[in-house]
Amino acid sequence: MHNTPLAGLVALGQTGVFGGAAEKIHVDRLPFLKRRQHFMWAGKDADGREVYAVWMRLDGVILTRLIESFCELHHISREQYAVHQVPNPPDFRLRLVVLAYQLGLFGVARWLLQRTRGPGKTRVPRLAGVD
Amino acid sequence: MKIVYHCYGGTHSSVLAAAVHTRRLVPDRVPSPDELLALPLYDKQDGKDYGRIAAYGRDEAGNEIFVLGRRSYVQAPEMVFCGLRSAFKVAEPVKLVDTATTLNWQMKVGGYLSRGLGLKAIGRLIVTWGSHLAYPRVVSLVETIRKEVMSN
Repeated sequence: MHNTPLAGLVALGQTGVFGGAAEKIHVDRLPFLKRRQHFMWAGKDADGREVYAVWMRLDGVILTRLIESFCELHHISREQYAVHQVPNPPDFRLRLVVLAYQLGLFGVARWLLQRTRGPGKTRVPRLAGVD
Repeated sequence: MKIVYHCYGGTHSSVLAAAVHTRRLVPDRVPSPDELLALPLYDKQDGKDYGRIAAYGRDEAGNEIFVLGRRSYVQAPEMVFCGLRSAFKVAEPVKLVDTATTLNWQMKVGGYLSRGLGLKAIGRLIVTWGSHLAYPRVVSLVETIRKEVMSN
């Protein structure tokens, strides 16, 4: 989870959608990058676990509590899920992308994102990682 | 069914609504300040409780009633809960009700003074005054919800 669509990219990175030859991100083919808030299914990771991404302009602590509250409400145990806050990316250009998103400059963010990765360059989801 | 009343702090309008829904407060009589302050969670929750759901009891039909503080993120509970219901394939519906629509300036100012600044004496005076004035709106909202869930 994050307060920008970076959460979606990271989640897709976890499920292997990006990586190797497929790591080039076609921004136009990822409509979720335009969304200010979203809850999306990203697929399954290598261990068969379901991976979801959620982002919105919301304090990460409150978002985590909301998720935990829902699970408590429905008696879903902590063993059944894990919540990961996407950390700030180490890559400078990705930080610019995040900043643009946080400032509400979605067009600029996607424009930057389109130019952030490429063959031999930053592997967006991998470097962003999850903690 | 689970019904969650939510507002900014989860401690004034949502608690009032939950209290009316569970009939801790009767709908046809405006409660006194002492009755309001004696309510569980009324003017008691603060920052460390934002995002946490608190159980408030059941109505006569067995529906479970909860309150939630979500700061100014009105859409957050709906979006997160909707996504998680789908993710965990939860069949039981959760009814989310935003009670901030019933707020007046007295409740906002009083709530901020009491919970935000810790000025309980003056804050509670103002927030109970505001609750007194807002009570008919709260009752109207709750009765609409009760009719809706009872008819399902």
